[in-house]
Amino acid sequence: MNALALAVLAALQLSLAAEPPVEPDPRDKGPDKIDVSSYPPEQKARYPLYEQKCAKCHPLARSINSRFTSAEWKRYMKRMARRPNAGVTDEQTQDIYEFLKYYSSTLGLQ
Amino acid sequence: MTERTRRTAVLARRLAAASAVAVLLLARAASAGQAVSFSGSAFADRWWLSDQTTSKRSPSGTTIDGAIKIGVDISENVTFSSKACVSCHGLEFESIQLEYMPKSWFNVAAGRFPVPFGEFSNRVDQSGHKTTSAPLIYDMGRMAYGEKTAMNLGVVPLPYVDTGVLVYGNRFLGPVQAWYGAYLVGGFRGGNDVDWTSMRSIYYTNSNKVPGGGGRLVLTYAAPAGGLIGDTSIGGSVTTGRYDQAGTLGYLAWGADATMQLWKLTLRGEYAWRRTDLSPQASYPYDSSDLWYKKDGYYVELEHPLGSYLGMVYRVDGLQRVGLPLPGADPELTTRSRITRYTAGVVITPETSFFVKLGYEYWRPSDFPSFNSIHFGVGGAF
Repeated sequence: MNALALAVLAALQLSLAAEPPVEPDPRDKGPDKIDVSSYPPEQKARYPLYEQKCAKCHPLARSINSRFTSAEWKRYMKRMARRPNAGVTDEQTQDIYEFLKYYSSTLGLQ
Repeated sequence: MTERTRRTAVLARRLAAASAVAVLLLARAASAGQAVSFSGSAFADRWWLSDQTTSKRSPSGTTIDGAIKIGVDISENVTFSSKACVSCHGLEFESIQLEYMPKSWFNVAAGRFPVPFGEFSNRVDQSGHKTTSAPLIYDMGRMAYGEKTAMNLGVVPLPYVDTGVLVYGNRFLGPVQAWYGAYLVGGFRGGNDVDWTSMRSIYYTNSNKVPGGGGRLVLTYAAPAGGLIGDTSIGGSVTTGRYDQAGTLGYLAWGADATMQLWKLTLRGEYAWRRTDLSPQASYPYDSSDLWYKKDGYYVELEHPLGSYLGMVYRVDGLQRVGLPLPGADPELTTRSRITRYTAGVVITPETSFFVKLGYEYWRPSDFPSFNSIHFGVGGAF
């Protein structure tokens, strides 16, 4: 029994040692957030606007998990920007759209 | 046919009709390469009350809120959406609507939709607000002394869902967005006082030939990101109609609301008021001077994050009913009945799309005993 336990431990140690480096978790900065540390400066600058405006009415997670393409975001944002209390100008809508388009591209969605 | 059988039959018909519509639209959308989106949320809440007598006559215990929404972009300007909800009153459709959106200043929604009344109507889903309970003025059934024989729920329980046409749009005046909407709908229904249950459990048709209607106007300062002062809004709403079958008893409700983002703080306040006609044929326990009653109330709340995983919320709210108690009402109910409630809550988000809500409430009614209550809820949204 002891020998079996030792063998399991040894195998576990080996598998852990062989594990490749872990990719940064997108939730590293906390839930409902996107880790934008590797994003281009212009997208980093747009992130606070996206966070501030979209989280007014729903959790940010809803958009993070939507897996929309850029065309889908374009149509969806039209709906959102026309909601009561949205408070998003055309320029801000464009900025949020550009950010979400880039986010979609990082997920392999076009 | 028993009431239970009838309701089951109605439910089955609704399910069948909704399924057929959904399947047809999905098939059509898929074949045409149209965008189809799904979203939804689920929430289970356990509510404990310190006073056993109050607990027995309140919807304490565990309740669930579930919702699933489908949206289909039929064309660049036309969208179909439907949202089905499951909660205390069974299955219901919060929306089944077509929206025509040619211009930002002119859009039309037709079908069954959530009527825009108050700021909370934007955040009525459990994933959209940090407290476990809705403000008393907008409570839809999860409140103490909310029975028909007592306060009969809030001023305008939300979501207020109705069938009709809504025209809405927005214009910018510099950095200020003006959102406006006006609608014609079936209106509230009931016999002598509004019957909120029947509005959700029987056919989605008008109870009389008189349409209800109303509107909402919101002015929002669209702040740039990162400033000390964030988006700030003031709004006003009104809704009116006749609620009895004969179309003789009327109601009028209005509300005012304000929200402000200040650094990491979100401040909100709303006031709502309703006057409801009562039947002159009914026999009242008091000498009647006015055949109507008024109901009004407010809430003020403050939210702020605490680190990356916690959100805190503090709220004070109140509800007041002034006027004749209905025949058959609780003997404790007076002509001026008030409830004040103090709430503190925390939302823990350990994982994207998953949240835990904890809430403490102190209830102080004028006509009933005071008590403490605790909520514990678990939910998620996608």
